[in-house]
Amino acid sequence: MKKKTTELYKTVWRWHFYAGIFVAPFLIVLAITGGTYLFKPQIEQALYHSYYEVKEESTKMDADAQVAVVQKQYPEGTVTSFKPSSSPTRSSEVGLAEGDATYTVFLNPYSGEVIKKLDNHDRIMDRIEELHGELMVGTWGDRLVELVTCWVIVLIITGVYLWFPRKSKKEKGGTFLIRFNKGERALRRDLHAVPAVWLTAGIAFLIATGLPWSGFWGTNFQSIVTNTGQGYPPSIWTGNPPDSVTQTKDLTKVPWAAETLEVPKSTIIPNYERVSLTTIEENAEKRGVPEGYKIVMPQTAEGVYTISAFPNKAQDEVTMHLDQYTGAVLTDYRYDNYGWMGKAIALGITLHKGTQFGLINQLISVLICVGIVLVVCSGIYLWWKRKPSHQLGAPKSGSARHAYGFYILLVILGIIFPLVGLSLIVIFLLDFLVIHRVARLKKFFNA
Amino acid sequence: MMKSKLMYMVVFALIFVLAGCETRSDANTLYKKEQPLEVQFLSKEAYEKEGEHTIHFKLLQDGQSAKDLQFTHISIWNVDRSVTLDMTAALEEKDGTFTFPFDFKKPGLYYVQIHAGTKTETISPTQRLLVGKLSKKDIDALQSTTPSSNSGGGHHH
Repeated sequence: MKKKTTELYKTVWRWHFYAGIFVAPFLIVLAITGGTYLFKPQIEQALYHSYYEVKEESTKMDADAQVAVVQKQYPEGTVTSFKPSSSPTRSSEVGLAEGDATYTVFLNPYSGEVIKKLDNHDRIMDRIEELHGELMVGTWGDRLVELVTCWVIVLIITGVYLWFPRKSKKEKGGTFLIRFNKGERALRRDLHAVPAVWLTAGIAFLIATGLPWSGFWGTNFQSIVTNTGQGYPPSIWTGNPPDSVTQTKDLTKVPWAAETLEVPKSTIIPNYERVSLTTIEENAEKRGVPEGYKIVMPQTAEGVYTISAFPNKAQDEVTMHLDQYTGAVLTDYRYDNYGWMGKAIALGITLHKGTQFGLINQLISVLICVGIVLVVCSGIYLWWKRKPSHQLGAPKSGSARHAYGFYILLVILGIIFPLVGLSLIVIFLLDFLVIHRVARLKKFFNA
Repeated sequence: MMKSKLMYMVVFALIFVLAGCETRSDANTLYKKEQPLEVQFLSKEAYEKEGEHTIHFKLLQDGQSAKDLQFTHISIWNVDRSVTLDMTAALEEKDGTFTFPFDFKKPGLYYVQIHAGTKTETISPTQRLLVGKLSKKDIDALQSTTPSSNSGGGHHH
């Protein structure tokens, strides 16, 4: 029994070691960027307060007039969204696309003065979010972050096993308390294992609340959950928004009109006007949409207006779609309309971002992020002090027949998290086809 | 041998899991449904000559004739606003069908706005109507992306 436990311990240690080596640099990036992003509201308030603040006056310009100001000032651009001013002393925001670039134009809603045209690429918190979510390299980065996150699950499971007090231990030292008086080796180990176990629940929570966000696992998970009727309604995360229901006709097809209009053949002029932004705003107010929402313009002739609000608390979320020709409300999804899984995911996101419970939420989350950095650094230090020269210092694997349960667990994780599954296949192939066949590599990796 | 068997299991399971992960096209039926008002214009969108023509439209809700309408008003104006009709009640015929005769005195582009609502739903579609010959101003207005608004008066609900 003791031999079986020892063999299993060696196998688990080896996997913990390799998982740790792989995730360490990425985990530090995730912790630092995540910890910074928690304070997005405060940071953006400090950076952009001069764009946000306006002096209250008696009459605001209507939404269409405000957008017309921006369109006139930037005739080459396309207005993509409008965020009405959310308080008497707050500017409104117009989303503008010019070529490949996108901008936010801050506008005084009383005078129509353009306060600032901000290139969205210069929004530092957006760049930090990009670094956190996809390492600023797009889809590949998103997949890598997801892979790292999933391997942290393996790290946690193997780490808890390695940490778990053996029967002979009676004192708390080395389990929940750091031993400062048992020598350097025990201290190095405890500086890694003890904080790690204290942070386990926090790290697991961040993983559980962040994974539904990811581009591969998250999107597929959201689709599955939406299809059960217990997730987010379609179009909020996955699935398409409805089309405008109004059946339009093309005025260029009226024979005598087409000759007069002289438009290119591909041009469509629908027989309906698009409903004004002012009407959309009025409809939002009638439906009790709280201040701070954004209106996204229809992108096609069949498209819809979208009103969306993702405020601090998940319970205040709104996603509405309105027919662009009549202003009719086609969908009106609030938090209360989500299934129980959708509510759990929505709450998880606001907790993950630190907005749900305000400052206390931010502080607890940043402590977890700081803890993650310390655990990673202490793990690297532990390895560096232990490793032999000219070798990686990987623990030797135990006998496979004493680790069947562990391997089956890995397979299960590989199925639940397909990117882990794919990486397990790559590891197996690398191990079988390369490492075991090249003596130097076999020695270096202690295979 | 054990490891390779496990790897095959992973591959097959991955294929199986990934196969069924699209959002269903009818997933919206599993969640809260709205019953928006819809308008169907039954009269033509273009008349070759100016003069008296009847606007004819139908209001629907959930595929049926709209019931419990609180108001159904119509406004009409042309591009230079030399011909205008302030918000006026449309004439109800039957089964959610409404008519409104109007004298389109001049040729050009007209806007016909319906403003209709129940207790909980409101719509305000604006149809473009071509009457006779179009001027350059009419053509520019047709090709503009800025909606024409009825700022001519009448209270809003």
